[in-house]
Amino acid sequence: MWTLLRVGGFMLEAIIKRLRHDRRGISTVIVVMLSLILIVIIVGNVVLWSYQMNQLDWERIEENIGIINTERINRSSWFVTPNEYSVVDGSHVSGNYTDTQAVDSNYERFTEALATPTYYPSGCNFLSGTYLSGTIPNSVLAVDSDYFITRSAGTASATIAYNPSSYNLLGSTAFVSGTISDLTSNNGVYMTFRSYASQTSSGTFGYATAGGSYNTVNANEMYGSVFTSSAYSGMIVQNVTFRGRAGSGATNVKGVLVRYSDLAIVAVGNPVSVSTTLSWYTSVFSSPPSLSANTQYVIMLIPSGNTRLYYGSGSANQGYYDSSNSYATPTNPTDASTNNHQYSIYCTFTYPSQYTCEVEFTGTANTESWTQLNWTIDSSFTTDSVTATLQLYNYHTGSYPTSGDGYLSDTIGTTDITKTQTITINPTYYRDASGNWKIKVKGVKTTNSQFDFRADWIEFKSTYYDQYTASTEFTFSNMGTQTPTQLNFTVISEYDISNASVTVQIWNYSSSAYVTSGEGYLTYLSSGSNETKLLSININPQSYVSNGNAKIKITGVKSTTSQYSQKINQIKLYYKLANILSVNGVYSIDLSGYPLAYIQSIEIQLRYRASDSSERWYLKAYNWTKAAYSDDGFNSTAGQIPTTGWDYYTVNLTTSWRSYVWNNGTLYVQFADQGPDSSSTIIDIDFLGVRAVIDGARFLFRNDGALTSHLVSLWIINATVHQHYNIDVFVNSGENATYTRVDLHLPADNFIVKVVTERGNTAVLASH
Amino acid sequence: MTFQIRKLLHDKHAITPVLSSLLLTVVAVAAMALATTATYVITINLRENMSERVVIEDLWFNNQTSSVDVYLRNVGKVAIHVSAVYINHTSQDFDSPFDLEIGAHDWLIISYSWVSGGIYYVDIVTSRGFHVGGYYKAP
Repeated sequence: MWTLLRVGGFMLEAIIKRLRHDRRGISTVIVVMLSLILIVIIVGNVVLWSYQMNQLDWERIEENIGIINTERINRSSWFVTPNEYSVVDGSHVSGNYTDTQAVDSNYERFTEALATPTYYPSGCNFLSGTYLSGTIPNSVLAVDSDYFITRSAGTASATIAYNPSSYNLLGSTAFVSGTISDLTSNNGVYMTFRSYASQTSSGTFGYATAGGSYNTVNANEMYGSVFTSSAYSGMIVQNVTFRGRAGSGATNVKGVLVRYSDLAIVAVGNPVSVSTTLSWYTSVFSSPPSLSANTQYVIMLIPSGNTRLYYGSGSANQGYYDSSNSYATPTNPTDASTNNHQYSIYCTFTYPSQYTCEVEFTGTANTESWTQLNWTIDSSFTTDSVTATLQLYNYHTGSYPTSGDGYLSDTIGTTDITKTQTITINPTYYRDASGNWKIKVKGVKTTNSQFDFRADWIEFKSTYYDQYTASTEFTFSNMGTQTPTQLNFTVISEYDISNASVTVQIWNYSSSAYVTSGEGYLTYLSSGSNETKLLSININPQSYVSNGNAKIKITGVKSTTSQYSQKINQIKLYYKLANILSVNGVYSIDLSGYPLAYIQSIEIQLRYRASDSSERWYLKAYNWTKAAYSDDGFNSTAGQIPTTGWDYYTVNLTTSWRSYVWNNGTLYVQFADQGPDSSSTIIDIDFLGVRAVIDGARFLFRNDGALTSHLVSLWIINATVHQHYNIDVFVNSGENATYTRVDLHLPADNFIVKVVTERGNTAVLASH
Repeated sequence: MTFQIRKLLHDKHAITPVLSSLLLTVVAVAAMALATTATYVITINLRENMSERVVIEDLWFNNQTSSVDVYLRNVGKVAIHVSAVYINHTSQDFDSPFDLEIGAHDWLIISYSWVSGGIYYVDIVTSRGFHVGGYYKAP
C-alpha cells in the first residue's frame, strides 16, 4: 500500500512537472488521482474483509473444546450461611460463621448459658407524682450523686371543720341573745343580733296648706291646732313650720309641740325671727323629741310680739289658743280655748326607713396546704325578705370579696336558710398565716321595723392532703429474649422524708398485673440514704419478661401534709439465662441455578460436637406458613443425642419443603436443644448447610484451545430424540467448567452429549 | 508541490485559471462521490460472500417424521438464506424459506425418505453459494 502511494506520488509529481509545460492537462491529472484513490479504497476493503474472516476461521480452527464428563445429579451443592448466626438463646463463644461453611478443622463455638446480662431502665412512667429531675437511664446507671427524682403528689385528704370562736358587732348592731357555741350545729338554737336603723326618711304631719285667714297672735299667746301623728315608729320631730308674718317690724316665734291627751308640752323649738313678709317659718327643736305613732298632738307657736298666723277651715275644736302663756318659758296650755280653725302649721319628723344587722364572726383553722375550702352559714331573720350578704374575708386581697369565691348573697326570711360555698382555687387566700379567718354577715331591709338576725350554724371547713405518694414505673426494653432462669432487680433509692412506706413491685406479664405478694414484691420503711433493695425472682422468671421488656414499680407513701421526693439512684436487672441454646442461620438457595420448579426437597446437614450427651438437639426451619420454627414434615423430628464427638445430623424436609423456603430461596435454619437443663453444654459447629434435592445433570467441559470458548448449544441425543438446549457457558483457555442443569434429565439408555460453540465447533461425548 | 500550488495562486496572468480550478474541484468531488457509491455497490456482494459461515450442529434422521432434520447455526457475519438442499447431489424439498440471522439457529427439515444404515451426502447451499454439509450415516 505504501509502495503504491509512493509510486503514485512520484507519478503525480512527474505529471505536475509536465503540466507546468502543458497547460491542458490539469483535468487529466485529477481524474487519474481519483481513480487511484478508488482503487486504493476497494483494495483496502477487500484486504480488511479478508483479514476479518480469516481471523474468524483461524479462531474457529484453534478452538478446542471437549466434554470430559456427564453425570446425573440429585443434590445441589451446599449452600452455607453468608451471615453470622443469630443466637436466640445461649451465647456465642468463639469463631464465626465462615468456620461453619466447610467440613474442616475450623468450627464456631456456642454455649448454652454464659453471661448474665445486666439491663437498666430505658423509660419511666409517673403513676403518682411528677417529674422533678434526672434522666433515664443515665441517672439510674450508677450509685452516684445523680438521682432520678419524682416529686410526690397528694393521694389522700383530710377535712377539718371549724366554727366561729368570737364575733364583732358592726355598725350599731346589737347583741341580743345566745352564745358563740350556739353556732356549732344546725339545731335551731340561735345567736341573735338586732339590727339598727341604717337609713331614715322624713315626713310631716299637720296642715301644710297656706290658709287664707289669719289670727293675730300677740306676745305670750300660744296658738295651734290638733293633728294626729303618722303611723311610723321611731319618729323624731325635727321642727315646727308655720305660715305667717309679723304684725310690724320683726318678732321671734317659738314652735311648741303639745301632747293632746294632757296638753303637756313635749318640746319647745328654737326662736325663729319672723318678718312682716308672709311666709313659712320654721322653729327647730334643739333636742328633737320622739313622736308616738297615731297620736294626737297640738302643734302650736308662741311669739314674742304681734304675729299673724294663717289658717284654713278646720274641724270643730281643732284650733287651740292660750292667751296667757309665756314666750320666755312656755307652759302647758291646759287653759287653752278652742275654735274650729286649722292653722297652717305642721311638724317635720324623721323615721327609720332601713334597718341593717351586720356581724363579723371570727375563728382559727389549721395552716396546711388546703386543696379545698367549704364555708357554710345557716341563719334567718325575724322579718321576711332581708337581703343577706355573706362574705369570707380574703387575706390575699385584704378585703371582703364582692363576687365569686368568698361571696354569697340571698334574700332570707324567717325560715332558716343554709348557704354554702366550696372554694378550690387558692383556698388558702381565705386565712392568714396563723390560720385566722372571718366571715361577715350583713342583713339589710328597707323597713320602718327593726328586726333581728338569727345565726344558727356557721362552719368553716378546710380540706388538705394528709398523704402523699410518689410512684414511678421504670421500664426495661430491648433486652434479650432468651428465657431467664432468674431475675434479680436491684433498687437503690432514698426519700427526703423519713419513714415513707416503700413498695417495690415487678410486673407479671402472665397475670398482667404487678405482684402484690411473694417474689417480685417488697415493702419497707425508708430510712437514710441510698438504701439498697434486692428482688430476686426464681419461680417462673419468664413470666416477668416479655419480648425483651420488663417493668418495675417503686411506690413511696407517707401520711404527711408535706410533699416529698422519691430519689432513685440506681435500678438494674441481672438477667440470668437458662442452659439452653438456639442459633438461627439464614440460607439462600441459588434459584438461578436451582429454580423452585425443579427442586424436589431440601436437605439440612449439620456437623457438630457437643460437650455432653445429656439432651437431644434439633434441626428446625422457619415455616413461612406457620410463621414459626418447626420440623413438621421433616423426615426426622426426633432430634439427635450427640456422642460428644463430631456427629453428622441430617434432616430432609421431604415434600413439605416448600413451606420452609420463601419465594426468593431464603431458608431460616435453627439448631436448638430440647430445653433447659442443669449443664451448660458447649456446641461446636463445623458445618451447617442446606442443599436442594433435584433431578438434573452436570457436565464438565474442558477448553484445550488457546481462546476462550463460548458454549451456546447443548445436545442430548439418543436413539429416539435429539434434544437441544440453549446454554451460555464460557470456558477459559486451559480450564474446566462445570455446568449443571436441573431441568435436564439424562436418558437412561445410551446417549450422546454434544456441545456447540459460538464459533461453530462441536464437542461430543458418548455415554454408554 | 506546495510551492508549485503557491506559485500557481500567485500567477498574475488572469482570474480565469482560478475559476477553472474551482470548477474542476467541484467536478472532482462529485465524481468522487459517484465513484465511492459505485465502489460500495460493486463490492458489497463480495463482502457478503466472504462473510458467510454456517455450521451444522446436528443432523437427525428422524424416524418419526421420516425426514432429515438439520440443525443449522449461522456463525458468520451476515444473514443467510438457504436456497437449496441436496442429498446425494439430488435437490430435496425443505421447509422453505429458511433464513437465519447472524447468530441464529434452527431446524431445517428436509423431506427425505432415508434408509436405515444408508450413507448420505447432505449439501446445503445458501443463496450466495455457500456450501455446508457432509456425509452422514442413518442409524
